[in-house]
Amino acid sequence: MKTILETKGLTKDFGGLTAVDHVDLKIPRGKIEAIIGPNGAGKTTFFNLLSGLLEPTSGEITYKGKIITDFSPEERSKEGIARSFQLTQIFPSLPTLENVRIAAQSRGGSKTTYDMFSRADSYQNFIEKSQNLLDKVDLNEEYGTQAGNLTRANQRKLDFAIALATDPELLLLDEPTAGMAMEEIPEVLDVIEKLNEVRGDLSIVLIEHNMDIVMDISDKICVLADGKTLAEGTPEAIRQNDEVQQAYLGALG
Amino acid sequence: MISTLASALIDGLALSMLYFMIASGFSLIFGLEDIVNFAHGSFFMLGAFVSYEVVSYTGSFYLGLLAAGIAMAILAALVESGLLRRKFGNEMAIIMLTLGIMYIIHHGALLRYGAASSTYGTIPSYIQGTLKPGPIIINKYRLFIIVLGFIIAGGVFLFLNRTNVGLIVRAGIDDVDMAKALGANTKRTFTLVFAVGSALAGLGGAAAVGWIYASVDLGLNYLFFAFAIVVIGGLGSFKGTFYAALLAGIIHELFAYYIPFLAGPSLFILMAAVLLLKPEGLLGGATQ
Amino acid sequence: MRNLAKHLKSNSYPLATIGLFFALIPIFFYFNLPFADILTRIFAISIYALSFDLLLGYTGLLNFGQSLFFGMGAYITAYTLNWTEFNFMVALLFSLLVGAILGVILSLIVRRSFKGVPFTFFSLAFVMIILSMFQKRIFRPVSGGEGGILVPLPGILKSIWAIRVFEYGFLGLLAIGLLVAIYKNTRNFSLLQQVPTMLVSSGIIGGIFYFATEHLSYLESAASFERLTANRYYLTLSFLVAIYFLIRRVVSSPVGKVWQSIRENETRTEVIGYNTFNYKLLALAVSGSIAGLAGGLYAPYLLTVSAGNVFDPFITIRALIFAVLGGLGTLKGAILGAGIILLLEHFLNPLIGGWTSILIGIIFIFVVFSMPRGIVGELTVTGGKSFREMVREMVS
Repeated sequence: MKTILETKGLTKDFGGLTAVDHVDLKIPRGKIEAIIGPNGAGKTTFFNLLSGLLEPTSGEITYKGKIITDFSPEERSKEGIARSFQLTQIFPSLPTLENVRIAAQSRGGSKTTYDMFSRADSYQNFIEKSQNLLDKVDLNEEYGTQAGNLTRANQRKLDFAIALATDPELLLLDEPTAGMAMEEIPEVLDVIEKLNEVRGDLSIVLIEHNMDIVMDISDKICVLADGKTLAEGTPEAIRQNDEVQQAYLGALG
Repeated sequence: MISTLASALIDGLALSMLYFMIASGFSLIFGLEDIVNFAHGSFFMLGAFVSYEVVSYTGSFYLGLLAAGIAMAILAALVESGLLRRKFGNEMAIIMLTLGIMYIIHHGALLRYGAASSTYGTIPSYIQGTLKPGPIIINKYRLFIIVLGFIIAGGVFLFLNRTNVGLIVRAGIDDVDMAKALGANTKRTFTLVFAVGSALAGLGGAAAVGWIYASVDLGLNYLFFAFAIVVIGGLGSFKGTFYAALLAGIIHELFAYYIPFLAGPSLFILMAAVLLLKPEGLLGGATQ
Repeated sequence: MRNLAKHLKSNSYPLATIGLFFALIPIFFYFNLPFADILTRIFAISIYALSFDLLLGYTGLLNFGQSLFFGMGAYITAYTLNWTEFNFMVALLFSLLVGAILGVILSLIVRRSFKGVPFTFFSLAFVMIILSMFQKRIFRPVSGGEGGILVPLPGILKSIWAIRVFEYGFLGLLAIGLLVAIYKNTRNFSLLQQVPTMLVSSGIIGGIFYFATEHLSYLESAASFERLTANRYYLTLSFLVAIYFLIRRVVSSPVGKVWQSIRENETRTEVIGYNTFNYKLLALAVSGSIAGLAGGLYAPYLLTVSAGNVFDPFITIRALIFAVLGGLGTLKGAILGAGIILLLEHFLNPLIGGWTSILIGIIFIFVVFSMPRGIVGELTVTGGKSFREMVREMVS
């Protein structure tokens, strides 16, 4: 399996509390990897380290053979790392289409992104690209809706579309089903599975605290507990792992 | 030599107490309710004028202090329950509303007192003049402000640490949901804290009249001081606010005595230095 | 040519409005000269309010130090006119540049806390430090002390040629705009309705032209202060029009769209690959340059520039009131708000004096409370219908 991103000894210390503790992880290219673990296991902190919103205390992140530990969020985005957030992060009072268009525009090069004097909608290609992406995540009827007025499931899909519009090679999804109603979850998972088709060779990492949800859609699973890697392997192997079962039962019980 | 230093320290401590009185309320309100009260400095200014008026009608200095505190508490409670509470969670609307109140108070004061007027209050004769122990000269009124400041600081500290409401307030600063879990009537607590915090500003203004002056400019100046002190001390840290006020007041007066042209921007310099070296403030970030 | 026709058609209303304002001046001259001055003030302050709306309404930055840009703009124009041989236009250019530079400096200073309330207070600190410096005795040579420094009258404001260009140029604009607008709205009318409409409107345009010609020949011989009033009016209005269209373009450009996404959600904007600091710096620089220009334009109106009357943070709060009252993030709202408040003050001040400001504060609170989108905002988004559509429905 080819690796797209690798962490070595990645650690984040919050004044005595070690949220992420020497995590070594290899993320396979073109596959869906799930990081699971009980609440407080350090999953979101790990994501924030990967996307550059937090600086690690120690350790190293390698992405496509390049060390990106010191890269800012915006530089990582330009390298092809995109993410969604546990609490959906959209631009609530802008139209849905504009939400995606602004993300697509970010790939336009500095001549476009720092253009102050031509109308943004004169760049037709960004609009077309955004429409395509919205169609792929089943939001083709919501172009003009204010993003804040979409249903939660649709906001989540919009969040994906925004991430995809930046042409990522690695997509980080933070608890994509958090806050969804039971009946909305399959809808969202369905879209995640389709994302690979939208962009071939897309690697996806998703965080989930509910193990059952990710069993079907992920190729590889990593279990985090107390900031450490507890187990890694195929969904089957994880399901059979006693330690994992215990950690989960312990945390839930 | 010694006497200059002593005077600088006494003046510094007195100024610190004014800083503390304006900043502690600002900090409590911000910590508990996430409200940035842009009218907080105006309450200080209004307190100064209220006490000035009361003293000139009744002749009683202490009645003036009391009236300033009570009047600001009532005004603040009205503002909080009548306006701000209905826009909770909408940060921008709250900022706008408090800015509007600031605008009204400012122009109201201009209407009554004019822009140029600087009014000094009358203080009782026994706190006028100076004490002269040895070579040191101590201004009695500044000593009075220092004592008053320490009494108030002690009172607020006891309130936060020994009373039920104080417990709720401290819980609420960390996490409003936790305060609710304590079974607190958070609405009433919010109003109470807003009123108490504003009363402190009013008291500070009243105390300032006898030393500095009462003028319309106080509103904006002290709003900025309050913010600077809170930044220096660390958001949400009551002790931090107290120490920051001490530090800022003393540094200001040391500059004023020895390097006068740096006195004006001293607070800004201090704030910039803290932000560079310890962005979370002197005592901030401890609760996180 | 076809393109031009299309442009004219889609912009006929703004064209006619602008033309109308340009054509108003002769009428003021016959009836009420001071009123022209009030409008001049509104135009200059509207430019300032626009610069404020650009920051708060589009980028989400509440800059409490906006009056620094405005005040420095006023000072720079005063310096240039006093100490150099450069003319008014060059002075305005300097004001604009200094505004932009101050915007960049402020951005660099607040780099680490460039959002929300901390930014608001740092920008307040910035203006208060400059204000207190300018009030120190050592700075008297540059600040002019309490009395301020005198602003000499710029030559262009005295010239009769400027009035001619302004008046005929914009009367033409009015005529074209009105005719196209009328044509657009009466196309479906029967001939019987169309003819009288056309006649009446041609009559109005003709009347204004007649007034203007009379007025011009009057101004040739009139006292210089009347020429000054007219020129100042035209010049400020021209700048307002130019700045309005410029900002409207900028906020719909790629950069303007990034500003809006920063306002909506800054973290998200960063994660999709924008260097948000650069964009905020750009916003402050653009806004600063416009506020500086507004200050420069306002300087000849003030006659003297002093720290107290141009740096006062309450000038910034007023800009905020204008922008919020009219509707944040609408541009038109900033102009409308400035117009409403200044006219209110003009008419109420003689009656109730200082109480006007208190009334304005109350109106402001009321608007924040019950019309959170401001006047223009509430009118344009009601039920997803545009104001024009609503009116059309009501009429039909």
